[in-house]
Amino acid sequence: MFGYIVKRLVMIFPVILGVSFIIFTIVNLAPGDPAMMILGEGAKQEEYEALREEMGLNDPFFVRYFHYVADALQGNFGKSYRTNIPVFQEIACRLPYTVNLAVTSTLIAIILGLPIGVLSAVKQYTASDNAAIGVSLVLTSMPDFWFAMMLILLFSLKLRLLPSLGVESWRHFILPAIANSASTMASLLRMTRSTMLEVIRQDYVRTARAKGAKESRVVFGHSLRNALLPVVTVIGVNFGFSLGGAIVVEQVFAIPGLGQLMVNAIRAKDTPMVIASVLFAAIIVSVINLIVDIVYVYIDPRLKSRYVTVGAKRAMS
Amino acid sequence: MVGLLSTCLGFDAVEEIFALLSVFVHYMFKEGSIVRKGICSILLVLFTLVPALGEGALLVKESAKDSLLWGVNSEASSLDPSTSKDTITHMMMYQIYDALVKEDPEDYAKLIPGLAERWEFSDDRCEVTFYLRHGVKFHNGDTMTADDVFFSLQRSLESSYSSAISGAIDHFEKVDEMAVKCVLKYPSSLILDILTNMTYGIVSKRAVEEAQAAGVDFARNPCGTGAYKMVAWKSGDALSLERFDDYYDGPAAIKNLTYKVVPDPASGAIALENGTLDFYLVVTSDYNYMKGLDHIAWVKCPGVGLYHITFNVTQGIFSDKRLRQAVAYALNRDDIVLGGAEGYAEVADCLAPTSVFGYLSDFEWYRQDLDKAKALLAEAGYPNGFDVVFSMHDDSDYMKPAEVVQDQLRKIGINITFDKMSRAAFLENVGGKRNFVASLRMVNATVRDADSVLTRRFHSKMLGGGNNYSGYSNPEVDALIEQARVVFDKEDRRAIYRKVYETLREDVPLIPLFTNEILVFFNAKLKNVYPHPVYRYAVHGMYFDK
Repeated sequence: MFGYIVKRLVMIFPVILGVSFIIFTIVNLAPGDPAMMILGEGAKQEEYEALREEMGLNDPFFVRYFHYVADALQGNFGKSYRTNIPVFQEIACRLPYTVNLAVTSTLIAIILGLPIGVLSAVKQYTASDNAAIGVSLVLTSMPDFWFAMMLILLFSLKLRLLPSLGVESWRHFILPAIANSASTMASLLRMTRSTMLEVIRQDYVRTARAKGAKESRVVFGHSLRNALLPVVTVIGVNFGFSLGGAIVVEQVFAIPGLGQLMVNAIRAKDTPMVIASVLFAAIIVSVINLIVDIVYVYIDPRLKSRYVTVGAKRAMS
Repeated sequence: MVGLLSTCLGFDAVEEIFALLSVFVHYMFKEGSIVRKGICSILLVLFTLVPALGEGALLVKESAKDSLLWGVNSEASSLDPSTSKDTITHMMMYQIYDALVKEDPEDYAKLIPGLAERWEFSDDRCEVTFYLRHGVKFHNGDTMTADDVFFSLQRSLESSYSSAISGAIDHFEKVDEMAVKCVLKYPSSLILDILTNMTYGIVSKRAVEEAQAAGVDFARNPCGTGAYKMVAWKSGDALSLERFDDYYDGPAAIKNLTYKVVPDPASGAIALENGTLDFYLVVTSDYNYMKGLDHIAWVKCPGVGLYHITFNVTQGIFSDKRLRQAVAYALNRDDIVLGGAEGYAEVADCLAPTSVFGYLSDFEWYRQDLDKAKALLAEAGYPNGFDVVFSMHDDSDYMKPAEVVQDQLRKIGINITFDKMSRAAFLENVGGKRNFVASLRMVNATVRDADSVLTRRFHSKMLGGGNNYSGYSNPEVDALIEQARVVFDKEDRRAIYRKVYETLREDVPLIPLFTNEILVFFNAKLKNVYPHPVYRYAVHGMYFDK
């Protein structure tokens, strides 16, 4: 198992290298001149050209990419064109807010989405099931931005219960986390319902009921455990979407996270910041995918016997 | 004695001393004789009076609330005057730094002494000597001298960020310990306005040199003479400032000032309404709703931006002057103001913002005349009109008036499609490479004079670089613009500008549309908020009413 994890971690490196090349290409091909963005309108043509030369923007593409990778491997991701702050320092300040938001919203989605999905499957074709499907449809269809604004209007403006912006306390993260969890919750609800419906029709579940097992043991002990595999995959995939969705939510709730940083960097053609932000997001998604794969091994006894038992045997020999 | 103690120790310390004394006396004379009670009473009175007396003498005005939370839609790029130029950054820097000359907070058109208590022009008006105010303190405790002023001004002059406003300045010189001279390339009537700009804010020379030696970015660790000093800067979140008690004009009433980044205008408006924010700059919708709220106040003033249509006069269909004139005749600019700016703008009849010196309110631009427009189209060989692409920055401030223009030009057969792009792409493609046929944009007067816009948009020396991107070049107009800069009589300058406008009206490289109004909303309890076209709000004079 340890060997499997190490192998997977090593495989992240070529993935990140590939991502860096793609994003470096896209950002450099996109229209916009960083020198004009920095100096703004009103500077002279020769001043723009001097700044471009100073920033190395006149070097060939592959020379610039090679220098970037060489510096990045030493932990130097460059300085922001806009603020002249080291990019790594800026991202290190912002990343915790985004990860916090993504983790909290994923937890909310799991806590609400899973039980409702189970209930919906167990009570198929009843009013509860129809309501759950309706809720999931609404949550999937609703734009994050609109949902966030509605939450602010209700809880911050009308009821004055929760703050509408900022990051000063845990209370400031309640509305953003709810807004960011909507689409993940909808996906989890539908997926859980779907897999549960498949599992509770299996023979071993019928056998468990016939043996007199309590309904709660049948549902949670036998059915849910087997239904979890695709659900865990959906959680992992949607965590990546949560990171992306955080961009919108951070704008609305004025959270100084990675999403807001990325948007501002793209608008300002702040190339080092854009590339590094995307790279860090890619690293997080890769690590989450790895965690999902590891969880898979421990949930599915068939995989566990292959990786854990085989690993133990190898260790013994 | 009380006053001396207060000055030496500070009012908080004096308050503490009297508190301790009163407690000491109380326990010493517990038996409660008349003499003892009398001494206690006197001490207690002093204990309460001293702080009240002290504070009344110290602060400009008392404020019911000691913290002001100000929402901005983007954070400062740099707090170093020599490496910043955007309006929002300068708004924040206005609290941290002072300039030699400043605007009267109650009437921004009036210039008053800042860090210079007076100035003298030479006879040929090519030199201005500024005599500095004595005893001005920097945030690091240093006293301002001519060394700091010369250092600040010269480094800003040499920076690329100041080139848009520094055309007239040749160099600065230190005259003596408390005087600095500005040497001009030509006599300029705009020099005092130029030096109010925060790009020429005065920094502590020692602070800059120490930052450089320590490898620390001065732009993130500012040190000026302003009414507020920086306490903390949480990137992307908030810039926290605190009252500078040694400010030369007396400490501000409000102790804490925080600029909070709120990127979304709708969220900012809600935060203002529910009391989270005390001030928000960019309320872009539902003005009438915000105006109707009792606990929200607002002020407005004309801005310094001129919204205009730009034609590429050297290539493409609009290289034919007749077609440009046809467009000018086809437009109803009153409707563009209503539809494009919700009525919060003023039609501009000259190629300058309506609020700056040099705008002539009696000058007449083309009035809508669809028959003349169609006749010009026919004369140019397009009797049925034509299709054209407008290259646009995809900001709603430009798209809204552009859509009204599109609707109006359809009536004479000109069909506009929009090529929308980001600001970065617009500056590169349109401003830099001039790959466009027509566009709608805004130009800000960086100095409140028509010269600022006329030079940038029409002088042939400003071709390229996002300035004169229409490609217009007319030696006669160049000469008139240069002549206006060196004339000091206001009527003579107006006469020169009139000639410029007449030529531009004939050639129509640009069509002026309107000057936007700056409308800002804030907590109604906040007083002494005076409108300003480029957000130079003096928080020093503000206070919260009870």
